[in-house]
Amino acid sequence: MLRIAVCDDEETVCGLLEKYILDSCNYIGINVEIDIFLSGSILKKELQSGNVYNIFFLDIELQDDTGINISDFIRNELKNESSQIIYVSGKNEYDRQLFAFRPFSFIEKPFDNEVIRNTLEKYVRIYGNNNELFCYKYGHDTYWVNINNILYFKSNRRKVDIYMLEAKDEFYGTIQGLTDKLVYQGFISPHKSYLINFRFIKSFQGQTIIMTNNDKIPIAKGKRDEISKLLLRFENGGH
Amino acid sequence: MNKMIIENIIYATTNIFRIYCFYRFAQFWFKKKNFSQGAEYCLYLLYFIINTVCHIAFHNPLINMITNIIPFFLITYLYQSKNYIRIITTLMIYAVCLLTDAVVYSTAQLMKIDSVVITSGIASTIMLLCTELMIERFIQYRKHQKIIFKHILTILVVPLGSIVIGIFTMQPEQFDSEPEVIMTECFILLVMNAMVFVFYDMTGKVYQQQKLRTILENQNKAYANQIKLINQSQSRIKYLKHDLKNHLLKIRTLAQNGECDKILEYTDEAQKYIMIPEKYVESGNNGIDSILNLKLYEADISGVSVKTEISVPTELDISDFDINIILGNLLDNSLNALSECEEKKLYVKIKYDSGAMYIIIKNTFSNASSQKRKKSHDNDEHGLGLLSVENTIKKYSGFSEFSGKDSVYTAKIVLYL
Repeated sequence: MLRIAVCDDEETVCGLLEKYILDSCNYIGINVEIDIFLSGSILKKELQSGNVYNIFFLDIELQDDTGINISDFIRNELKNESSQIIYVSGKNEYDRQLFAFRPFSFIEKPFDNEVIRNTLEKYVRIYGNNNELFCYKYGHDTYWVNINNILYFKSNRRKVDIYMLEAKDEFYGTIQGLTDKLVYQGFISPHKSYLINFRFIKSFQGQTIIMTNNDKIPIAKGKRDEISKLLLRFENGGH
Repeated sequence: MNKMIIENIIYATTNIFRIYCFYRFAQFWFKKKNFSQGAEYCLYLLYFIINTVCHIAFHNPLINMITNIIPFFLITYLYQSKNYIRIITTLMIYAVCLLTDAVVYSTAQLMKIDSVVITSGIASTIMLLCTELMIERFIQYRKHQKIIFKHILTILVVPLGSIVIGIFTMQPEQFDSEPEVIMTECFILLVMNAMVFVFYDMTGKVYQQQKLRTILENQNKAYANQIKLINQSQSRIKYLKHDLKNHLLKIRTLAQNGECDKILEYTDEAQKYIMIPEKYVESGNNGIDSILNLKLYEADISGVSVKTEISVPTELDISDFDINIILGNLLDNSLNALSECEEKKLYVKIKYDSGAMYIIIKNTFSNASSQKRKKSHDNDEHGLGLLSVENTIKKYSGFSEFSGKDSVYTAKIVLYL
């Protein structure tokens, strides 16, 4: 079930977005729940009370607030790095600040059904239906984690540390074994001791990758090109 | 003058040019200096003095070798480098010297030539200068310029010609009777050859400047076009604003009459009026907008169907100059391939995400033209263009991948900003 929030101070735009999103999800074949917000402050209240959404369609220019403030609220106050933000805008010039919130996509007004459908198809391609799970055993217990909640794996002698959004754990295994299993699910290995989820890359600094939780992952000398190749493939729709 | 003194003068002269050769090589090989230019010149002078004096005083091959290798190794400390690279460079240059000597002397033996030009070491020195230039050019080729084989052939003519002239004119008997004449001839030959290399350098620089000028001219063209588009856009908006009252009145009337279809028609027309058809992209980033609008206009008038997906901030940590080189050259490549094909489609995606800039350009191509990633020695302009693109990509620690499949050529590039 995909939970989507649409926030735009123009009712007509919200209505149109809702219609297109429903159509697209029907077409793709996923269940969706859409909530409409006509102002940024109502959305903030909703988020503060604990409501979560997978995708936000955010108008950049809102009357009582701006897309930037709300994005800041989502990413920095709520520390939510896994929800995706899609900016909807009448302008096509984008401020540099917006990119710091790692938006998933930009949609220009006026938009049509096709644009919305392509965007949602891309979301499903990258984030799956949100039910892909990773399984590991530690001791007698088996654990299941949603792939979209895993930031990265780090080798720790014979064990592997798994860094998730809200927690950290460990299990017996090897990075190499994990790489083989997860390479088609968006995990790349910039160093023999690390396997990272490309969706949680915040930035690149020289020979280091900074993850959204500010952890630094080194890039091994020979691996830079391999990483670039994989990233390009993700951008090019998997080719 | 004493024949021995003249021999020594000739040796000293050839030594000057040999050490000039080492100096050139060091300039080229090592990038950064630790000391001033003055200190550098002094040290090379000292090298020359030690080497020449020891040779003249001792005439000992072992002492020659030591006074060649050790001072040069010490001189490498003038430049920023690692120790093992210093050792390798010193040994390499000495090996090249020995090799050229060996080649010259054995060729002379084989061809039974006995001439002062060989025995005095002038021929070896000239060949050493030649070899050094070849090494320089070969390494530079892999970095920046193409080897222009015609030019290489031209510059070989003077050195080889000098050696041949030397062989014919400088006979051993003449050296006994008129050593001063021989000395003068040697000197002139050496200076002539050194000049050839100096001129070759100058033409190389001129060539680089021309290349730079072409790039800047292209960029200016793109900017000029962009300014024109912006001006057009602004004047149309001005007209629209001016007539806004009238337009609103018209729409109001249509709304009052319930003529919704006519309202849609009217607003569509107004929207079309504001949009300049030649303004294909409007990301707000001047560098990208300029070059894309220019190239996409060229694509449009050639009947190419264009699709773009641009999401970049208005400010990026990459200069307009570099954007121009990458996008300009890649799009030129695409446009060339498209001109030779039936179904013309072009797709440009530029996206900025998490500090990386992704560029994906796809175009259809016909198998007849078989657009391949042209290597620099294939074709003048294209080859140089793609070489520039690669150099610029390296500047941002980036990566590029080109592929052609099912009549679609894809160029994928990522830059880390």
